[in-house]
Amino acid sequence: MSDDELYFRELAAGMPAARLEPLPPDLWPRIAASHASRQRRRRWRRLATGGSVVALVAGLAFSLTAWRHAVAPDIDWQSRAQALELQLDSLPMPAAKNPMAQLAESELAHLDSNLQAAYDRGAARGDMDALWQRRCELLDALLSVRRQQTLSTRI
Amino acid sequence: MNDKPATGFAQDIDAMTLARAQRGDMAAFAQLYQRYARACFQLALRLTGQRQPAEDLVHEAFLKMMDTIGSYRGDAPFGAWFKRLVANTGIDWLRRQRHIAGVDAEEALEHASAMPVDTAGIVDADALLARLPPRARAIVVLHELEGYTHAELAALFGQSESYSKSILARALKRLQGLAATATSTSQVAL
Repeated sequence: MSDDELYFRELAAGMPAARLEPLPPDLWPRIAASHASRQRRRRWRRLATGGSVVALVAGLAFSLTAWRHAVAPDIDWQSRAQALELQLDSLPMPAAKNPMAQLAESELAHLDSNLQAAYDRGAARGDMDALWQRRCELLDALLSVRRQQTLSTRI
Repeated sequence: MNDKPATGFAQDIDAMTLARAQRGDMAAFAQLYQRYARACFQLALRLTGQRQPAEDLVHEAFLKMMDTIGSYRGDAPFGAWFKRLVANTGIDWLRRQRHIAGVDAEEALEHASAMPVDTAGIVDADALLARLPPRARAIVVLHELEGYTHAELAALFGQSESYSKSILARALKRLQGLAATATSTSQVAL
């Protein structure tokens, strides 16, 4: 113990005890009210934070879906197939059949019957799209073979 | 054997009330207030030297206690833990009031020593303490009455230990002078 501590204790001991100040009677109600209000604010903050997270996740999910749509836009395979068919019709028929062209034509015929069957049974749009897409691919192949043959004939 | 019942921060609290308070039970908090509010107010009055700021400090200290009681692990008696929280809240309060940061304690003591000694109203040790500048008063209260070490005070005030020792020594010298004058004045009056 230092001399300073001893001194103050002696000094305080030589004086009358400090008068105890009464506590304000409304202090506890004020503290309790402040505490309740802080708790409410915290709950709101938690709710707001939770809500923000949900909104953020929903926003991200929406953006992802939108992005997927942007990356893989809906293609009207049916219209595209019809356009390819018109292009094919505009080309002269080759004198001799190319084996590749024969293969494609045979598959096209098979695909057409599948398409008809799909329409008849009221197939889902996704199934129809897949068939039309395949038809486009076959028409594309046929078109390139036919163009090749036309070019060779001219030369 | 000392049969004197514990008072102030030395009072204990039962484990059940403590556990309820840690769960946020308002009735348990009210019991803690009943038990420690007076001691808390007394310490706040000593630190601030004024009634209204002392009430504000008690208000703030209880709110802090209610927020942090969950972290109380029982390593020290609850009263000691709470007393430290009140003292730290008092230091923060003084800092916010710029009583500490704005005015240098040595300068304030110098200024106080140069003023004519007015001992009217010095009726007890607390009234004597109230005559000290805020930082010097806080150092005397925390070191002499609340048991803070100079190392702890140095950390709290962001100063060296020798600074805390110097302020304490000068503050006590000032108190000695005031007490002597107050005593002789009261004897003359009689």
